[in-house]
Amino acid sequence: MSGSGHNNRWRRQAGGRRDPRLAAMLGYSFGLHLLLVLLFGGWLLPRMQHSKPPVYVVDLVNLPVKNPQAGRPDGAPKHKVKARPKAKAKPVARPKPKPKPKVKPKVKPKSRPKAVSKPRPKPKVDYRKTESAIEKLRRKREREELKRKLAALEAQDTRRAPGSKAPLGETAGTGSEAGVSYRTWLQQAYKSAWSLSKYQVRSLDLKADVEVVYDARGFLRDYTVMKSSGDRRFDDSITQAIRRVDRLEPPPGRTIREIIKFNLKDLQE
Amino acid sequence: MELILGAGPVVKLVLLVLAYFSIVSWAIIFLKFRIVRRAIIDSDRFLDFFWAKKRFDLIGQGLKDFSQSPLTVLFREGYQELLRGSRQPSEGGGPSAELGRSANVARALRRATTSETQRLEKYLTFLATTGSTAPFIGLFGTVWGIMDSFHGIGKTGSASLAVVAPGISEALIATAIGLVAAIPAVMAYNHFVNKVNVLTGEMDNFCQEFLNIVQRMGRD
Repeated sequence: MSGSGHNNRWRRQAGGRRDPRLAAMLGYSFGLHLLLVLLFGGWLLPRMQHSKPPVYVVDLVNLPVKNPQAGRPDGAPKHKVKARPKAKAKPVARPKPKPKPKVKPKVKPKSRPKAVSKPRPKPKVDYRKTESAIEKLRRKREREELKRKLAALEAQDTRRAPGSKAPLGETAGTGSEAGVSYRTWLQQAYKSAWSLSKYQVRSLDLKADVEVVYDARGFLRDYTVMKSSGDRRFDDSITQAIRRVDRLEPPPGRTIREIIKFNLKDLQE
Repeated sequence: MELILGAGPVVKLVLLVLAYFSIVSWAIIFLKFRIVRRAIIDSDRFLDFFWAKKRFDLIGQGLKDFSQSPLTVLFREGYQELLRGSRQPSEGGGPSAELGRSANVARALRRATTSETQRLEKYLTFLATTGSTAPFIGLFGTVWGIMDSFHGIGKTGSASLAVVAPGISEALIATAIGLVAAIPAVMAYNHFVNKVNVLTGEMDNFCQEFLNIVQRMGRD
């Protein structure tokens, strides 16, 4: 009997029973993990704020080019607007005094005081008028400038999809994405898919016009050579390039029908 | 945290399993560190005490001061077996009886050594299991997450980096946490196995010394 009791004692010592200290250690370990999660999760320590460099999105496609000043910062046009009226204001005062002194003094020296006396009172009187004229001109220009900016902004807004909050274009893009003009994008895509050596054709002045049709899902539906180049290899290379661009990403959502002009000189560039 | 919260259900389950492995592993690491450290310190102190005292009964009275040392268990078991042998007089007496008594003590010491080694090695298998399986569990979560991500890419039809990267990033967190759970477990396992081997060596040496003393006592 003493032997069986002995065996039970050995079993107990050998590890049949769970160590009571393990529960406490489990508690410590759980607390430690929780603390680490809280620390790295940013709930206890303030999160590190990374200073991101400003990203400027410049739309080179639809920016109004009639007024190149439209894209400039606000400070620049104001300076020029102020400068311009001054430049124009001077001729208002000058025309009368200048021609007279230049012509008359040579012939009649007495005319000098006349010439001097005449412009003197006029600037005094015209000064207020010119000031107001300058002010009006400046306001008018500012109004025009604001209108142009507004028009540019409206033009940008119309290019957004309805209900879309996505930014215009991709700042990290390579420029080959389908954007506003599918024609431009298609030309780029064909150019990259087009492979033809200048040694394979007779002349470098080869041109061809091809009409391509893509459906709303972006799949190539049809293409027609409207104007052949006359060189079979050239035409074959064009059709191969068109077949390679058999899908537009993202889908345009409408049928695209464009006439693409292929020029071997463009390919050589 | 966004990576974890944004992961799929399977990846979340994998992360939970890995968290369990990590929590239990660290609990075992803390526990074993404490046990092994105390065992080494108490063993050193007990050996000094053992060689300082000349009588077993005096040593037996001072065992409470070295409770964490496995050598005290060996001494207690050997000494009790020795006392039992001396209380029960053998039939024949003489050298054969002495040999039988020392053999009994040797068996008791061997059994005590085995039990103490088992006690010291207890839970270490969990560390080994964590070290070997946690990276694979994490990898499973990653593979599943990437599969899910590619499935989403196939549905949306967009393969830009902005679409692909978040899914893969969420999936890779599983492998990262698997490695975080496994690396300390493997390191701790190797450390504790080494320490247990040292203690086992000390126990073997102590058994030999104890038996020598018992045999010398029998001859005298």
